Amino acid sequence: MAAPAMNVFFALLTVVADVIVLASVATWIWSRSSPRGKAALERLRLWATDGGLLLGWSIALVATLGSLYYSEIANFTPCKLCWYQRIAMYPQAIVLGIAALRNDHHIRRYVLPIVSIGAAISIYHYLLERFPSLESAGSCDPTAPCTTVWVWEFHFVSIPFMALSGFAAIAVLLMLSPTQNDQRREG
Amino acid sequence: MSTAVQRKRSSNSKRARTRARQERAKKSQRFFIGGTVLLVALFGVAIAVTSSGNDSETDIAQTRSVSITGDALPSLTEEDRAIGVQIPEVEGSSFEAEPLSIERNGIPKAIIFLAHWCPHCQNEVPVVQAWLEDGGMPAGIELVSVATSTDRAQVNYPPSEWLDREGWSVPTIVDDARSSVATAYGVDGYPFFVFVDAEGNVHHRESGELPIERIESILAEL
Repeated sequence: MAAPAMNVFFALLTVVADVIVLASVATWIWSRSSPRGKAALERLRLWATDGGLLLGWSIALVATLGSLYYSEIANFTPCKLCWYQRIAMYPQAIVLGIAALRNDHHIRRYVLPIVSIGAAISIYHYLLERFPSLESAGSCDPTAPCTTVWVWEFHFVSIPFMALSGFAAIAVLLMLSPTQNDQRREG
Repeated sequence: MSTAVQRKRSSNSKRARTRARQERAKKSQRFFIGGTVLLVALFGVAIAVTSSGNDSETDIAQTRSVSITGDALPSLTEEDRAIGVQIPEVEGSSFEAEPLSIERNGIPKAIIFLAHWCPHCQNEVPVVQAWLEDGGMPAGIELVSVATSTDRAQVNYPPSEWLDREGWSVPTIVDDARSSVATAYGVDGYPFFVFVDAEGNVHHRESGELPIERIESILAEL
């Protein structure tokens, strides 16, 4: 498969993840100010109760496979920061899968801190790509510099941006899922 | 509470649990079908978008064979162990396939190693080019660059087009696919500068975006 097509494919998926994040955040803000917003957020949470874990797991799985595609098939060399983000993302492809099977919403206590760290690293990596001078006093590491931009689609999507979108979407989905109090009320 | 009622309740709740499980299974089935449709659709869009665009393929070879004679310089570290060491001689060619070489020919030189994907090289090239066009380069010193670390998977490929676009007027040796010239000169980062005295020994090596004043002051020492 041609790398450009895969880049656009992953970039489109990134946009889908961004839409999930932005729509959820917008609904949350809306819910603070109007009863209709509150009702919309409730519907969203109800939906996340059913499918949030499954969708979160799918995102983690696609992110993991995408990252493996880039390193193993497209032969992009992962830099140090890529590895840190991988450490935060890969386990979710299994952990969230088990949680989805068991419908175990408590998992967010464990997953949220990890994806938050992952997202923070992605933001830093993305900034490095935009402003390489943050990393070093003006020289590129010849082996695997984190400043190398391997993918650049739609004028804003790079690989760390893809990772950031994945982390953010997983975090938002987990935050929408019912808290312990909600579950106690249901039970 | 009689046991009969308990049993009835438990069988009711069992039925409810089964129903809930079936409902969840149905929902996840819908989820997987919907997800697959979305993935296939996005993939189709991606292929459609990229197949119409023309590829930036080039006929010009972006790596070429080079021959290197002499010992490789040690990699640049905090204290440069290559200072005063004889440079290895290089025979290679430009993107236009003209023969080019780096020789110990009694002329002091500055060699610049450039990687197309490196943002610092992308910054440095226009700065040096503008300085050359202003006649900043002192006479009697040879300036040569090496296009190295070339990788078609990375951004700003091919290097020949990048340097063309920048109007790069410095004779440029095209390194081979294993970046042999860069290795022989002990590159530790890009862009990489090697300043060579008239005797063919290393005077100074430095990596990074060098300001013109710094380049001028080192050239003045040669």
